[in-house]
Amino acid sequence: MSLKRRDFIRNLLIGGASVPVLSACGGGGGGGGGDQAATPGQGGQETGNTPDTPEAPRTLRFIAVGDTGSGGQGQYQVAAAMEAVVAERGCDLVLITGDNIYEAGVTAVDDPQFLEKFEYPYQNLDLPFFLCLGNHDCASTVFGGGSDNQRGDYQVMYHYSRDRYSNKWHMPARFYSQAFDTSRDTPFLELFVVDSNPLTSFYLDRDENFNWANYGYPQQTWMKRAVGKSQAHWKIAMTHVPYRSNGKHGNAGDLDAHLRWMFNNPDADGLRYKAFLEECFADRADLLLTGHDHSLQWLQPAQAMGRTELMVSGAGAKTDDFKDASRNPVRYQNDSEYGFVWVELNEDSMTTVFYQVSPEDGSLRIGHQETRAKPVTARVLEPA
Amino acid sequence: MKRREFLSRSATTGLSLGVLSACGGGGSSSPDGGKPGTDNPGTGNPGQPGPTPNTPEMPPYGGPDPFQHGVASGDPLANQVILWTRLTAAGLDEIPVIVEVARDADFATLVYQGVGYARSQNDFTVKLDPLLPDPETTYFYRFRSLGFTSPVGRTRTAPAPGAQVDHLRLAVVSCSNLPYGWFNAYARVARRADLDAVLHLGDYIYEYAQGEYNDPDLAGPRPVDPPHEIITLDDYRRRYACYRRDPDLQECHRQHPFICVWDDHEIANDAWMDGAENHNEGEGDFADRKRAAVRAYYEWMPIRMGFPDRDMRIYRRFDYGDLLTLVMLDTRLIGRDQQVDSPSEARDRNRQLLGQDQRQWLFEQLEYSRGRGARWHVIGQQVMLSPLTLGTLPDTPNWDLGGGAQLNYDQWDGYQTSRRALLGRIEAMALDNTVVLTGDIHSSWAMDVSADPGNPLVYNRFTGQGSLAVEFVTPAVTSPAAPSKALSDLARAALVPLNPHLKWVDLFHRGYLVLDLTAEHCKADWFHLNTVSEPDDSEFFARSYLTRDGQNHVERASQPSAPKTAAPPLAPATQGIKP
Repeated sequence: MSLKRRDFIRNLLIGGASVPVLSACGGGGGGGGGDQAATPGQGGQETGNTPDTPEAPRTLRFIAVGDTGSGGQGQYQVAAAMEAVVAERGCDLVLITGDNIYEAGVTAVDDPQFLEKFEYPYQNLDLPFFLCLGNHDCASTVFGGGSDNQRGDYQVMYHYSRDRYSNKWHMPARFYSQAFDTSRDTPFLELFVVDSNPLTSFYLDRDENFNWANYGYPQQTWMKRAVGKSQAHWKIAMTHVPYRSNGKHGNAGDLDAHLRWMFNNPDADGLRYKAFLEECFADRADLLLTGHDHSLQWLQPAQAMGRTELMVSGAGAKTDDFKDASRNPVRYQNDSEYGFVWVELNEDSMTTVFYQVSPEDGSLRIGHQETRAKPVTARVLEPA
Repeated sequence: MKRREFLSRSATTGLSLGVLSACGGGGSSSPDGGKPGTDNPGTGNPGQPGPTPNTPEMPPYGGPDPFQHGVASGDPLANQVILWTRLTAAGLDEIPVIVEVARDADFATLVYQGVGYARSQNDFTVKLDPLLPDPETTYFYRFRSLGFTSPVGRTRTAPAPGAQVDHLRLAVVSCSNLPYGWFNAYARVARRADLDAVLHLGDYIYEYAQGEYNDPDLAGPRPVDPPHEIITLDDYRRRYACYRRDPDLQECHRQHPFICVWDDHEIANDAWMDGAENHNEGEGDFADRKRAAVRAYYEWMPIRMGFPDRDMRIYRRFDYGDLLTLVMLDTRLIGRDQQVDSPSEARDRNRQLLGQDQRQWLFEQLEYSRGRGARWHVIGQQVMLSPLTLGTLPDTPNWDLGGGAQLNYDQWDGYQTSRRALLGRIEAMALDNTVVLTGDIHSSWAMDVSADPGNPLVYNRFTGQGSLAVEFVTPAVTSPAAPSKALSDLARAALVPLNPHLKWVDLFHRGYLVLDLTAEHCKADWFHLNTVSEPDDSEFFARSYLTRDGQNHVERASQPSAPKTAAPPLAPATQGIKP
């Protein structure tokens, strides 16, 4: 098991999947951010990789955790719990749904917060982490207003930094896609990561590179195309701000209904963001992973999102009470404990375990466990 | 040569290209299962037994001319156009109708010949969707049946989607209430030989009972049939039949292809998805009424049914070369939530005007249109997109405050989230050259379209800076607005200062507008009528506004656009040729 994982990681990091190289500078994603390079980049030594057994079933495991970057006890408690689960059940990678560095991101590529809020807490987890930007990563105040998107660029730069502490941090661009297990013709999984902050921030960013015309819509166009042409068996989308949530931030289209009066961004309710997610991912991604609200939620599918499963995993360091626990119907939800989600993807099914971590003593328990059929049928390629 | 081939193939090889009856089920459908509509070309009446399409066996008939409701054409594509007629022949059913299409009004150069059938299940209406050899070409057509020949119709195919097109002209009409006056506007539009098509933005018929909504000052009576409010399928059919007896409307259909959408009165006043202001429980289930109204609409209007199993879906797109993409929307039946009457409800984020599917479709069309390099993206729809207010403040969605004090919650003002979504998309796309065409409101308007017209930081009322698109509103053919010109002028003097995006409004005159499109401009010329109280041949040029390529705001022009040079001749004014 661990050997397989090793192989996998080596594939990934050395020979394996290449990453769409988006420019690391703010707004650089605009214009399409370069072509998606998720075609299986057969590693040099792996080119003659003949299948040992014909089409052995593939599997892949990951942990999804979010709103992690406090550097405090909560983050360490959750990290320890993740270590235990990785040891017990195996894990190939970790997804972080944003707010990687509280409260106001980093302001340099050598900002010590990379150590305090990422490297040290996860130093015992020898896994690649794929991260997305949250509002606190792009904020200039503790309030997380998200009006300083340029700050997010330092988190992209850290991905490319030669001086980084470990090679775990993966954020090749502000928004990107990443293919996994590319040993066959089609990847087993492709991850699509959205930069939601410029689309939904509380406060307007004065930098016009991040407005909808220069950044939001080009991102949407790029993402729609990337998902559309992806041939991956599993497709998972990750973004910070939820499509639906029972937490205080609420549903896209009506985000922060009770706080909004303080905001100056007319897009703060997420009206355009909601359409973004629907147009890019509805019935195309199997799973939409989000954070932002500090709780674990597995929501019932929403009509406008088709069969795409919706999850909120934002309890990686903090908890917040639900604002309206019955706002949306759920498969499972918990707002009183830290936690994360462990997922195993198989050819035809997805096993999901919601782990809850007690804020009192850090003890770990399973909150919910469920195996479901793959939500979205993999598309069979039409002959040319 | 090629044409010959085409003709012989379509007429004799049994392919019966585009030979369709108005019955959706084709020749073999059960009498009760058919829906109005047309099949795709090539699927109609395959292997029709008996006589060839050229000489179908006619039943014996000794009655009067069965072509009582004229001919019509519509929904032009590059190589297709819907052809329509209706037979009135007591006692007969399943009546064969031969259609002929030619390049000339004398039918010397036939390009198509086919057969349709007038059936009782479709109210004896006949619709064909022939394949025609050339895009951007004027054709003449006629029907023959029971020993009679219909008036000669004239139609025009659209340019091929990729073709370079220099000049297009469209007449835009709406709100033709027969008891409220004479269709002088249709008569004037009919005479314009240089039009590519006529857009009808709805309220083609009105559902009211005789006397409920008519002009008491009308010089002569304009009775409608049936005299009661129309509710059942039979009622709606009779109402269309009544309107189609009007010679001016017949003439307009005869000369031009129409592109139509319904508004509310094709069903009932202020219709929405599941009801209407002018519908009560005593009138039965609204769903039944809606179904009846929609069925009669497809039977009687020269429109192509895009999805035969989804007749409520009328929204559709037309590509006119590289100059124009025309998107026709349904703001009534497919997705509209019920009207409300307070500003806070109008801001309800859960309410929709277009519905999820149509909204997403619209966004895709805008992206498609830009992607294919169309110069103008024209949205034909019913209710006013721009605010109509008695005072405009900066809009603050986060406070759910500001914007305007709305006057009419039936228009987009009552669906602010839907408007924000559309304008937000145009803004996000940085899409230039969007033009919105509107009917419904019985008056003429020229407006900039801004997301926040009351906010000087967003929109400059003096320069038009910040405007995202333009909106032109066509007046009614007959339906009334302000009772006098003086009142209209008074209202204009009040409304223009209160609505920064509003450049011109006329609330009194009936008429129509002509949209003139070139690579440099999209221009609306309003033509107004002196009267609709009696048949009258006069009209006058009222105003002209244009938007230049890339400007996205209106400016006034002093003169109407020049007509097209070398317009094809109108169809001759011959009536049915007796045997």
